[in-house]
Amino acid sequence: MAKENRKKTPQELEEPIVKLDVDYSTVDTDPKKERPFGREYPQSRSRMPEKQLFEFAEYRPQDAERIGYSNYSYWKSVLQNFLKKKPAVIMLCVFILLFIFTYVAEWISPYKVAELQQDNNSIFLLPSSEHWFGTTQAGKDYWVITWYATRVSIGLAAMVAVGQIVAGTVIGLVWGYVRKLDRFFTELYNLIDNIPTIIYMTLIALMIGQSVGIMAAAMIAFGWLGTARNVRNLVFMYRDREYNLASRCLGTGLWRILFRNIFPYLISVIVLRLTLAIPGTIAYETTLSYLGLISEEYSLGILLKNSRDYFLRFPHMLVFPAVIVSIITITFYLVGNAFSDACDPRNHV
Amino acid sequence: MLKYTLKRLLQSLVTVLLIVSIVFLLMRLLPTDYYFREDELMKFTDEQKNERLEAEGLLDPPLVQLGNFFRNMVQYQIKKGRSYSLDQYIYAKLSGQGIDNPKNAKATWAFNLGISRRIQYGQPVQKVIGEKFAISMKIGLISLAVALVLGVVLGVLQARYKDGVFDHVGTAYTVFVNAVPHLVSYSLILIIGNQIFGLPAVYSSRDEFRSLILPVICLAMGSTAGYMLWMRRYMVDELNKDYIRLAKLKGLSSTKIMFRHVLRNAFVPLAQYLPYSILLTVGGSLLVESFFAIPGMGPMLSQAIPRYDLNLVQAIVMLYAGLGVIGVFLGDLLMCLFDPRISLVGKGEAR
Amino acid sequence: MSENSRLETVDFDARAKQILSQEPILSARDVEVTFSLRGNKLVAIRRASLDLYEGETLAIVGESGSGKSVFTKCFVGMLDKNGSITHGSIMYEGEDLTHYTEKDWLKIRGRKIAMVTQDPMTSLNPLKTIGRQIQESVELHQGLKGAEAKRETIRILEAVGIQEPERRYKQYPHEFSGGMRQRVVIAIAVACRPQILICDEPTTALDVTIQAQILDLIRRLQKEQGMTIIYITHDLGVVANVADRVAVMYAGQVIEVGMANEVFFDPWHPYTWALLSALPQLGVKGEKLPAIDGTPPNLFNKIQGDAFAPRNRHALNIDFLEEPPMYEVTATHQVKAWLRDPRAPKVEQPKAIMRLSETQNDKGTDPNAYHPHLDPNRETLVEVKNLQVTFGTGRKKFVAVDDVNFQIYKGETFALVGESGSGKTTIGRAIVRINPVSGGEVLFRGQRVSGRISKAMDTQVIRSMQMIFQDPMASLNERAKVDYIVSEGLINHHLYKDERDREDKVQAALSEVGLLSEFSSRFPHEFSGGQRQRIGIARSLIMQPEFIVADEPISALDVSIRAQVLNLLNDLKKSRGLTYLFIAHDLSVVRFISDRIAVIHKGRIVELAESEELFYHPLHPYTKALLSAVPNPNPYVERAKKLLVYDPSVHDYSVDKPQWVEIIPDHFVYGNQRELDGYRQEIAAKK
Repeated sequence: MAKENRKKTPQELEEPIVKLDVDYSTVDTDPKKERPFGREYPQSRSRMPEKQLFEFAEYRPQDAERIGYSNYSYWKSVLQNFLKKKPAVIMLCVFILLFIFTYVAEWISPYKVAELQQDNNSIFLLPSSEHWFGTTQAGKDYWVITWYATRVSIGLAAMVAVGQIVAGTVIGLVWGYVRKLDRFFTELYNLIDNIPTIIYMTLIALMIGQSVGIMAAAMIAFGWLGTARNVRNLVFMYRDREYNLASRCLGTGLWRILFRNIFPYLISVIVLRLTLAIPGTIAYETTLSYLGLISEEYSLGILLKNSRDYFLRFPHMLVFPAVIVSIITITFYLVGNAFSDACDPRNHV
Repeated sequence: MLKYTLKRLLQSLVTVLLIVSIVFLLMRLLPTDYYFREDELMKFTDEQKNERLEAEGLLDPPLVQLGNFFRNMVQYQIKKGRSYSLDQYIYAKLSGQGIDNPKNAKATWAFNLGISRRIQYGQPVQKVIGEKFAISMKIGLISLAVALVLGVVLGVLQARYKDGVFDHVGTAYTVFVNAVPHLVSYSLILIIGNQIFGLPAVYSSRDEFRSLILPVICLAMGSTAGYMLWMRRYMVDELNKDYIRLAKLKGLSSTKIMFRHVLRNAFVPLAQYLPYSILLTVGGSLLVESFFAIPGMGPMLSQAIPRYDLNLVQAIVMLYAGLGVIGVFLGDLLMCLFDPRISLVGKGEAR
Repeated sequence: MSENSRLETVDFDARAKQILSQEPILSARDVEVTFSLRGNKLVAIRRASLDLYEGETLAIVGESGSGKSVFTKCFVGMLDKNGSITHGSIMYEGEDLTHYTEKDWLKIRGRKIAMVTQDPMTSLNPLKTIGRQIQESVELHQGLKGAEAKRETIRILEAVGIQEPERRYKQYPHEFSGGMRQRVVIAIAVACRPQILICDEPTTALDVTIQAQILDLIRRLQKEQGMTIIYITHDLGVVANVADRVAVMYAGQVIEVGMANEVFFDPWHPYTWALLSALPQLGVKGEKLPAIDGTPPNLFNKIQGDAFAPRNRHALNIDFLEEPPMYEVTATHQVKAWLRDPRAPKVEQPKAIMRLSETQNDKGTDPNAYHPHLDPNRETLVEVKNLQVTFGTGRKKFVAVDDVNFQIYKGETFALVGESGSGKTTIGRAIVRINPVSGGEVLFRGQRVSGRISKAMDTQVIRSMQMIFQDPMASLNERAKVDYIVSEGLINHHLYKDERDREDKVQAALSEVGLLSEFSSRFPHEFSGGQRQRIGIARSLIMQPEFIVADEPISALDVSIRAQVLNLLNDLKKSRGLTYLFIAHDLSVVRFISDRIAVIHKGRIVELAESEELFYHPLHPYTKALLSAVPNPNPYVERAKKLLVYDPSVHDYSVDKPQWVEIIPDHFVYGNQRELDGYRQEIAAKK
């Protein structure tokens, strides 16, 4: 049939020719107007006789508008991707159980942290049914000490991590968005960042004190830098996007632009930094404890420090706190990385 | 280029001086008791203390003390004679008074950062640090060389065989090293090295080689993981870029693309942090050295702090600040050498 | 110099004969490409077939998502990792390319089939010299080494029109402009003398004048090297310029293919009709453009029947049920539309298509149209006086806009046309106070609104002047619901009585731009480009502005969507009495929509006139060059046009200082005394 049509202009064909031009000024394109389903409703077409199949169908603008939707949801994809990372999910469950157990442990043990006494008859006992984790150089029960220290360390880490991230985010947002302050914060950053943090910690320990509270405050005071810079660089990416210009055109104020327009884009990065700040803080705490900058009776760092002199002969001093510390830090490290992978839209494949 | 270099150098110097000043002034807030040895504190009366402080200028207003500190930082020292600060020396020369050196004794220019009062009583600080610095540098440089070679090579291999077995093993290693606190992993290495291979658990100068193996492993372990991680990440980033697609379209095989295009481009961002990390490693790892009782910079700081040896702490801070600032500066310079897009002259893009 | 004056016929019939007499060199049959995306299957190419003949230029046209790029990537084995060819064959030199391994591809890629990619700014290795990057290709495929290879590289650099090739050889990509970089990318592709060259939107990222030069270059190289070219583009003007044959793609299928004259003048697929008639070039000023509603289909869903059916105003019932077969119109022209079936009603093509074949591309304008600037009582709404905008400070200072003057009258559409980096967007942003002004002033209703102004004045400016942005993907906050986005202005200034009132206002604004009321609770990512752009318009409308700066509002949109937005802007102008500053780079669009046009070059306005006047009597050489480069969707006209290249060095402003002069009423031009005299003579000669 194709050969038949060749060279023929429409005018040569015998049948009446339909003019297809639509007067666009009169076409009712109001998509809000509901049109009743006519005989052209797609499902009914399959039963049409052939002649009717080749008739013009009614045009419905809503159908045209409707076909393009995407059902993609960012956070749903993030969650789906995250749940696919089995090691991270398993470790997260383990951690949650472990955290709950720090409270249970003391309760099921005959010893209580507050009541521990120096006992020279029972120093360096190996784990037994009496002392489940053995005893310390002072003859104290290591089980309750270890779990108590775990709770202290997790609390400290959580506090410091949240403090660092909150401070870092707020400073980073302002640093990135307010052009006039860029220079000031950059210089401040360079000034602080050029020197290893351990030096500052040293000075603070020396000048102010070595209690956990002071050290936590110090860790926050010097720990916001990384987050702030990260946030600032991201703000740079979003700052001059057109939707922010649009907000400025509409007269939106600084803080609302920061928290409604920019902050939501940074959540994935912030959560990542938060999860990574926890193992970072715990590791840092052990280092500081080891260097003698924190004076606290029990924390995982202190336990590890105390074990250094004995663990070659009494490995239980090292093993229990080391295993717990490692579980916590590896969990958050894995969770953080899995989350950041899940947040990357390129991985939403 | 030269102009930029000088400008940056000057900036760095200002930064260091600023930090030193702040630290110096902060130190002056501490009680004056810390200027005495522990035994002196016991036996001195308040008057004796005051006399000493007066004599050493420690009761002057802090800003005056700071000025003196900078004035006396560089000295012309005559053996068994007096010392001249820089301005005194110049004045003596210019005014025709001449240098007071009757016996023609040996005279040298030297840094003067004060004396250690508690760790090594009476010793100039720079001398105390100097001895320790040598050993820290040795360990630092060895471990850094090991880490750099291993880290870059392994990182490249990981990127090359991305998602393969080797990549996963490498990633597991970096996760382990980064996630587990160093104190724990050092303990692990110590146990394995000591119990299985019989290596010494603490440093001894008699058996230096063998006793340095574990510390070097510990130091290298962390930075290897760092270099691996970043090298792999930068390589993968580069591999996703448009120009790699064009190189592939040219008909280049993926091996050639790796070596001719990706490797160098991925190394550039790494290069920027190289000098900084070298200088810091050289400065000594506090933890490793304390852990293995190596008489380097590390333990010195942790000894000086609880004993409040102020001059020593101050000098160490200055050293670290200097190293850090120089490291950042060198990193920027290195970056310019590698990346033609960065022009230090600030001419902007040519069209 | 008028572009319509000299018509040179391209003999498409002879080319058709030539093509019919030979076997295809590359033949793709029923190719299906599937991607796995977020656990779903996306069929990007749905059994598409295409033949390629030796020596021809085949253009593949389609909107984004039509699969044109994916389809051709199959010819060089460059599909993304998550995609694979799941059906069909691609025959080349007796082998089926669909079975090729990465190792096999090394024999073909670059050597026989080369490709020029879209974005020249990111396609070159920033750390290697231009010379090395081309030489790599020369060494690999021509077997040359060392000095010999270098000599060949320099020859190629010269061949692609790069001056001082020896010096340029040693330079890095960042020292090249966009157009120059694209020449380098082309040099790399042709260095190995491939048989087939695939150009994937090679000029989309470039300015029109540069685009015209690159098209010329490709055409010249094709002639010299006897290459066969596949040219992928969404721009029908470019197609008209380069193509011997055209394939139109929609939703992963080739729906119409034929010689260029057949597809342009005698198309038979309703989508091709729609695409052509939606071109603003073919629109009649003051009338609605025949827009295509909706958006291309989501390929995640299974498509029943003809994919275009829901948007097709001329769909038959069967279009919703069965996929049409390929019908042959002529031996070289096939179309996949039920309308060609003998059982279908016999139809005539729409008027706009007929209009295209009238070679005079002069649609005429409504003589009764109202032009606000001709009104004796015209009212100046916005006035820009000696405007200067600079960026940076000290040595890095850069003057983006200098000494700009114009008035915008109430009720008119004033267009600002220029290339990227000319400062047109900067002017728009300076007027709405996003960019600070460093010199001169902006007046709104006679009051100064630039620089430091009172808080009350600032609020007033915000309420009466709004902006519509270029990129609908970037101009909406992805993390906020449409409801918040649209009512942001209301919230900022408390322009509502209560929550109920605010919601009503949002609904009113949405319906005014033709969006459903249920959209207000959704997030922007659920919408297509055209819908997003309308959300952006609703956001500005809610402030009840008098004046809107429209910054390239359609340039980031697909061809089929553009008409929707242009129609909407025109409707709003009528219903609300709005005044627009319409910023664009595309003169053809501007001619359709605007009353007066200002042409800007390097931060200076060089010419300003009523739009038809500017098209017929351009004076400034830059305006002439710009006009000559505008692609025309008529292949005969487009191919015959003479390209003028603007060389700024023709102006000698060293002694005789240039001025901004109203040379005849309402026609301004920038030039010195000598040039102005020349322009006056030109005007006199024409009359």
